[in-house]
Amino acid sequence: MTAASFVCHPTAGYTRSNNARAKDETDTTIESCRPAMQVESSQGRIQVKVAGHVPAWLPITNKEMNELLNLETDWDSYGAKPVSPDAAVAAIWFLGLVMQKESIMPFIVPMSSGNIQLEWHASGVDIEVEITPHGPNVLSIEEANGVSTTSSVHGNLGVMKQVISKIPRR
Amino acid sequence: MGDQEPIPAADVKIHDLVEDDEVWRRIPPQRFTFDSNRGIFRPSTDCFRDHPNGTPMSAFLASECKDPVLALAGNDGFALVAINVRIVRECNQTVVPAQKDDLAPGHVHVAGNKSDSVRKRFARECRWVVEPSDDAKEKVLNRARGQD
Repeated sequence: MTAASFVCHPTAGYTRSNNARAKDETDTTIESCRPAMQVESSQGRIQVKVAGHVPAWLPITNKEMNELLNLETDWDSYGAKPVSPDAAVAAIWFLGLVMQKESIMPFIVPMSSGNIQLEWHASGVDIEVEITPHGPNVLSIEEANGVSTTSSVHGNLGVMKQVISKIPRR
Repeated sequence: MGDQEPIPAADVKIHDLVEDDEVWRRIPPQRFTFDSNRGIFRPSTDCFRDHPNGTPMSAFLASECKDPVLALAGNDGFALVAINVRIVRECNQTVVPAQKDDLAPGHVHVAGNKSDSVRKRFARECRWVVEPSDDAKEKVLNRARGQD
């Protein structure tokens, strides 16, 4: 699978989310709120197709990603690379996996490498996830009690679940 | 204006740095956040990496550059932060001379391993010399409030 064309399909867990579901079973599974979403980059633009309910974070995120794709080489004045469309696709795909209904939107920060960093700084938690064209890479979580962890996310389902459980909520 | 090819200059002298000295770093408008945990606007940690070509992080020595306007020349909408030399040293970083003809006076490199913890400390303990625009701050605040 390449980042240029992620296709996510809803799971049984998502189907359950449309029905009355106990709150405590909604928050810790990757599948709980995953939209059926197709994300592609074409000619430097991100296009997202969603079957069914469009999550609130998606239109805003898509707009911001497309704005970031307009940044040219050296946009930071220190030699930064343009934002990779594949990294933007991967970031939307990642958010499709981890965002829940009450999740706070992340800050979407372009990186000098051309990757994208997603950041949450609220509710006593600081989360930063670096998204490369190949998907999420490095995760950093700092909690109010001083506990700090840095992990490799790529292909690590346990870490992904950790992200879901830590993302601040409204 | 860019720093794609900063030229290390062994013949450039840096006066004896004292811990009250500061280095200045430009912050693009896309790269700051509102940290609700600390109630502050601050740069993203990624603002404090070395150059993509491996050259150490560029900055200006405040005591030599003197004028923030010079440090921001040609970069409309950018903000400017200062990092205290004491913090730089505590993070095992070294301020070394650099030179490029079209840059303002006091161009230096901050050399050393920019680990996750170093970048976080720079991001949290720097101070704004020139703050982001009100429009940019409002946009970031709206995001922090969950409004858009």
